[in-house]
Amino acid sequence: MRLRTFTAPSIGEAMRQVRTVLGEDAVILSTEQVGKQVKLIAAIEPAAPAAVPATPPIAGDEIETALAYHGVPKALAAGIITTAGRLEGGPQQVLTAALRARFDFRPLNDRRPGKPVLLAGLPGAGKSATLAKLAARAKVNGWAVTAITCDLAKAGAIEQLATYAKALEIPAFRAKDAATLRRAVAKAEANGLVLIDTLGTNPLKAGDLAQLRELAEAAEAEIVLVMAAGGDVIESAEIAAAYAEAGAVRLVASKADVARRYGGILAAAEAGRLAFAGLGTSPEIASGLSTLRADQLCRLILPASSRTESRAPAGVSDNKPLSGTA
Amino acid sequence: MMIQETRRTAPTAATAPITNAIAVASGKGGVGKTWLSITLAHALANLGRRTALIDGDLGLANVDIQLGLSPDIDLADVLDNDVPLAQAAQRHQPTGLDIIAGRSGVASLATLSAARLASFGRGIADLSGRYDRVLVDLGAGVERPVRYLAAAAQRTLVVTNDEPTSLTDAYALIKLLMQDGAKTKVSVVVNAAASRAEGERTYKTLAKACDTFLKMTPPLLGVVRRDAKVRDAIRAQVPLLTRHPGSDAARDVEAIAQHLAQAS
Repeated sequence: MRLRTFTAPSIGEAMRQVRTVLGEDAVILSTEQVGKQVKLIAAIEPAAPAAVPATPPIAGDEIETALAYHGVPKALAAGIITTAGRLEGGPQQVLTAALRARFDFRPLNDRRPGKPVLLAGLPGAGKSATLAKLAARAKVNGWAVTAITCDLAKAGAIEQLATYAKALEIPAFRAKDAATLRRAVAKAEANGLVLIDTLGTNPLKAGDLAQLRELAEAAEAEIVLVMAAGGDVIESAEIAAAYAEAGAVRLVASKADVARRYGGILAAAEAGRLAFAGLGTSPEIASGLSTLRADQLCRLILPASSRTESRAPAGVSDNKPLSGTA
Repeated sequence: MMIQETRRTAPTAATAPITNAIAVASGKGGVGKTWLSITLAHALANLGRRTALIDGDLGLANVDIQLGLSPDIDLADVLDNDVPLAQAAQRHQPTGLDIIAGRSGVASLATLSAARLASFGRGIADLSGRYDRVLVDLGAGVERPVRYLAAAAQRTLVVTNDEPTSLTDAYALIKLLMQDGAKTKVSVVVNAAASRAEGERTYKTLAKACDTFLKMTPPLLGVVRRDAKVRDAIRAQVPLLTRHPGSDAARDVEAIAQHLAQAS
């Protein structure tokens, strides 16, 4: 309770002071005439957190600090903290549960090849590398893989794909438009995995996103957004929302090994309602893509020894590569 | 038998409070809590009630100072060396009170471990069987140990004066006791009031706050008027009821004691 005493020549003036200092919610506790002045005692009761808890919620504090460190947007952080606060257990445990409650986690190629996967994202987001990593992992699983690139504009895009394809011994095609892509997908081996790389799109241009949607429809593919972890929080959220608008439903967070703050990918998943599909953890094609489940995301945000060690992505190194989870 | 007794009266917010125990608390320091505890205990003794007074204000104990006592054993011995609380009780002949003195400068109640606090609570429970009333002068503050001991007592007197800080802290203490689910009966004593009417006004301010924000209203146990004779008695290290019987403040405290002597 915040309690204040006001003295004024009239009750009206005293009340005005009360409203100015304590706001509309102030409660008048007493009024008294003192000579020619009116003395008024008023109070407000700030919202619940003002109560002194007998035992401070250590887990909540630690989670709150970590989310703030990563720059997680306030509303999202508050939601996660509220959920975590209702749970019992250590910080890692309750944060994992809160993340699982808040986000979807649907790793790519978890069990068997599904729809063609069309990788989209900003130029340089790591789409081609992600494609190669997915292809490598599919090969390990013994799946037939077809790689197609629509990224004809980038210098060396074809050569890059060809290099990967040769190393992985998979067929690679190029498609210059939706019609060509449709034909390329039709040629792909049945029951195999089709991976489609695209031109880096500019989400601010409606034309780019429309083209993306057109390609996805032609290939009957799922759009997966590839986004570098460690990006600006607001920027990441807006980009994700734009790609979601174009049809993206999952998110691969790339370049996690060169990022330290993961608020951007959380904001992106939230803004675009995207499921976490994977985490790029190193440039290594063979092992550089991890699953990204709630516990792994938790370790990124709240490293086990967060109090003593630097905030380098401690969770990254012990994530299992995708190939290990089949 | 003793173990059962102890278990039955173990003071937690969830169990029944200790019969006969009266905690005197204030939230804020310097509102006359210790003086009121001594004078109330003295008045209860004058009414023929076997009364013990525990100076629970470990950090700034001064019951013994106000009474001019030089205790051989004090609360620090009880807490540090497991001396039974009853052994630390010292008869103060002029008042007929048994005093368990605190010790200034030792670790405060606030830093007591949970185990020692629970042991202290059990000690009070054991002691309460030997007396009609056991008053516990709690330290200032609203920390867990203060609330724990308040919750353990059948009654808690929350002492306030008309200063906004005192009212705010008294409110905070009441609020936290409510939140803890404490079963102690909370009532308010307004100390150092300019007049009975002023004291009642102060009480109403606090009561309105409790009613508005906590949806409960602690009753007013009494108003003790401001009285220069209180200061004189404290300076002389002589109880008010001995030095200035019949003074305004003495009569006010006696009225409260009457109520506490009769109430179960």
